[in-house]
Amino acid sequence: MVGFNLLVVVALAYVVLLFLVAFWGDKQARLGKGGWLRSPVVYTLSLSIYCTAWTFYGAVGYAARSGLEFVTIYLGPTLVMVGWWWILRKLVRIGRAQRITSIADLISSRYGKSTALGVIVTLLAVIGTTPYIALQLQSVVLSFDVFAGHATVDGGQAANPKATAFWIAVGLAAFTVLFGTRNLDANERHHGVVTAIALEAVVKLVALLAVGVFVVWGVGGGPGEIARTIETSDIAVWDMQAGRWVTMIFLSAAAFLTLPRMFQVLVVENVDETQLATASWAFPLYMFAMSLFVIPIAAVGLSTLPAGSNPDLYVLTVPLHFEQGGLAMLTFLGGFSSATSMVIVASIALSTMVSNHIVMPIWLSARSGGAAMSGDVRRLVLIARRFSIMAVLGLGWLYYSLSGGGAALASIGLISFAGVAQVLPAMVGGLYWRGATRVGAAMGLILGFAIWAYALFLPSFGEAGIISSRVLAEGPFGIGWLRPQAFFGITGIDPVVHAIFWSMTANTLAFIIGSILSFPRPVERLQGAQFVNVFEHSARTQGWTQGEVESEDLLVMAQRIMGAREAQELFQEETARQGREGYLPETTPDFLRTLERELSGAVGAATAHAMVSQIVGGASVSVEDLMAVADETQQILEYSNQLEAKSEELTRTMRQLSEANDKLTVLSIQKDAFLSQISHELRTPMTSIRAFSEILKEGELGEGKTREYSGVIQEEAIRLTRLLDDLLDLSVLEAGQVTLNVETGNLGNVIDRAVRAGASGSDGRVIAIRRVKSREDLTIETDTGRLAQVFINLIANARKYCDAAAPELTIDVTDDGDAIEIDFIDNGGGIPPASQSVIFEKFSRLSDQQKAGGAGLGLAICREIMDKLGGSIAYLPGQGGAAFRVTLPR
Amino acid sequence: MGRTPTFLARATYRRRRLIDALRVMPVTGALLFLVPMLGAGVMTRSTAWSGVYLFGVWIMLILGAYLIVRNLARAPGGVTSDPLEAGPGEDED
Repeated sequence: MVGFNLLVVVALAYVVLLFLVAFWGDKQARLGKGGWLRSPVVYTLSLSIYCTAWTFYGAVGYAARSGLEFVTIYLGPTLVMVGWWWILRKLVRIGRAQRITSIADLISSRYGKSTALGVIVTLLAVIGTTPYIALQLQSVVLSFDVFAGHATVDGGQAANPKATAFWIAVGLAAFTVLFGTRNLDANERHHGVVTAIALEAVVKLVALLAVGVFVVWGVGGGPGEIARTIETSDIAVWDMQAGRWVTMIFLSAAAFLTLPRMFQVLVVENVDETQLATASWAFPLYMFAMSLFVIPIAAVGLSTLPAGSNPDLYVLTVPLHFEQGGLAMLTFLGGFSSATSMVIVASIALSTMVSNHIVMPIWLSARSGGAAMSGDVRRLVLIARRFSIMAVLGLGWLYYSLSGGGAALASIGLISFAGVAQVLPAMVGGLYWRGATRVGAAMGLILGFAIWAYALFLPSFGEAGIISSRVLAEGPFGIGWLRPQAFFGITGIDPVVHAIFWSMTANTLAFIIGSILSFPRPVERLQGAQFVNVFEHSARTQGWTQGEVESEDLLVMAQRIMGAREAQELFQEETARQGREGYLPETTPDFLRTLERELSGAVGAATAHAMVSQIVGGASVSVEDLMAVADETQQILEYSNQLEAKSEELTRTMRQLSEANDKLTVLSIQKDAFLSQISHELRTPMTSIRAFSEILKEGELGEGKTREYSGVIQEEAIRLTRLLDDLLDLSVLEAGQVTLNVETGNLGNVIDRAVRAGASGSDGRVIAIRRVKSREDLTIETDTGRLAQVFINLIANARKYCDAAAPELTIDVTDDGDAIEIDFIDNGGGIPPASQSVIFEKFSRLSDQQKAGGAGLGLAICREIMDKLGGSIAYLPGQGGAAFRVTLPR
Repeated sequence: MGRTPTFLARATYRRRRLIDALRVMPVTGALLFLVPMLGAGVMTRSTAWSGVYLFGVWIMLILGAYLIVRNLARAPGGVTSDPLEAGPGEDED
């Protein structure tokens, strides 16, 4: 005899134990002692959430109804696990390379990060999983009721089943929120949860094995006897339905891959591919052990328990029948474990999907439209997950309350399986076929899901439900070929087989046809390549640590998205702010936030966040993978921009080089000309000096001749001296060693001085000067001596070179406020355009040197002087004669 | 240098064949699990003996997978490495 109160106490103690174990597991992981949490054994045990209360209680019920068919539910996953090299290895590799967070994320990511597909898969998963959660609540309530109402149990009270279910749901929500939403990154393992689930996996296996051993050796009297019991029971003959057999194996294999909770433990929480290799045989072994005693328990239950007993509860009622209170209590805990572990993982998986694919897109679009919010996204996501967990459990409870918990456990489970299996074509197609597109995936999913709902899900609510018995019998609006369980008038097929066959066929065909006819976007094609060729792409993904490497990778990515210069500026700015040099700053949270904001301007907030966090947080993403995320077109555009910029730069450099070359050539010619000029200039006076001095040396000359020749020698020596003075003057000016004697003076006075000195000379040529003296009355502050030198030069030139019959020079002064312009315009023939550019060069005399009597350095000196005075001198064309403009700053 | 060589070293060759065996496992298993369909609905079958057959195939499959994985794990590249795929740390470009 076992007391009901004791059962309640044991159950509560077990719950407390689970909380403590979860706390302990979390703490171990935080202390860095959680290495064993990554072991293949724990991974295998966490896979055991496939075996829910449906397995624990339902398998025996299934066997009692349909014999060996129950085993198909475990044969499918066995084939998938044993064949891990085909699909699971690729799935796990992709899951890590792409940082996949859920099955919805996988589909969305594969088909170009499509938000729409994420939403479709999420909704499908929520609708498909809700009955399953209800099923778990129902099984716990049923097992409580068995104890409460059983003749061998003391003090049993028939509790309100809805209330019991409600409080179980609340407790599970509390546990899941507490341990399932500790960290934001869905890729991180939930250590506490994993520890608790590993414990529960052991408890349920031990419980079921204990019942099995008790039934075979305790009641049945050994394997041989049990075989005889089976031979004489109602299920002695295996009435195999071939269609169902194949369909169930296929369905369970498909569901094993596509169930959100299985995807969570298989792919998302996988940390090491070695785990998968071990689990490939260990998990089938677990399922084998769970299934081994199902038929014996069913046979014994059928033969010993009174007719009308619920076969779904044989696991519990058989021990109770034989008054094994302790065993029954263990069984109860096993069933409780099966139910709770499934609900916990399923609600974590669903909450991740709901928050990432429904809440976040809505929030992001609301944010871009509304006020500029800079809220904490982390917090928001965590809150969204917590509410999603509560909502998912609430839905499960609601379904349980509404359906009244009538249907057999096995049938609810199969409906769920069939719903989530609709993801299979899009998933497997996406892994192996690069041509699979978003449009095809969406079409297949929607069509398959619609057929599933119409042919299987809605009829499951019973005749009073949405699909009435009339519709079932005659089809909607009397259209016979659309009868939910007999499409095209083909009757006599099992409803589940019927629904699976048509939904999967239509789903796959729509997926293939839609993919072939549509054209994928660039992101889709890139993602397709990343997924299908994952083994080529992610071979070297390891080895990301912190520091400069990471910063450099961020820079590489930012350059790809923002453009090289902007990204470098941003990084340089940040590095400078951190007080360092170069382009690679420390990756501080502030900087990451800035970078992310900058990136989101280019690629959208969601993607930017994902990109930054993948680089910063991840050890399994290569830069190449991230590159692929950026639009293909963006990359091509970027590349052609770079090419264009480069060729422009090359052209510019070439032009500069050729200009420099021209200048050098000209300078070289000038230098040669200068040297030959200077030697010529020096030789002419020297020749005459030497000749005349030789004549004088010979003597025998008259007084008059001697005087004359001495005069020539003196004249030539003066010319030589003047030339050397000019050269010296020029070189001093050019070297910038001249000291200016700045004083205040009147412009008129300076011109007076220049006219006096320059207007008439020893050669006897004179030039008339025209002036407007009133306009010359300006105060200037400059080196008046040097300025006068320029004026004298200009006036003397006009006097020497003006070829008019009556030479005339106009000196015109203009004061325009900023500068004074003094124009010297004569009435001669002017300077031909070709020569205008060279007149300021050294020795650039236009006419015969002897006639001019100068060295050709005058204008060169003028230009140097005006440079030094801060002004300029230029030839002024189009004035009727030679014209020079001297500009003097005020 | 991503070209597949025509001839592989002996160890690599053995590993490739082991992977082939692993690939055949689920196909073999599926065929054996579908054998009971032969004659379904025509002849009556004992649940007990059919169960022995199914569970027998099942445990053989598990044993086979275990042996293959144990042999695969001896490779220096790890149990999941394929000699024909670019191994970790081998930069090709």
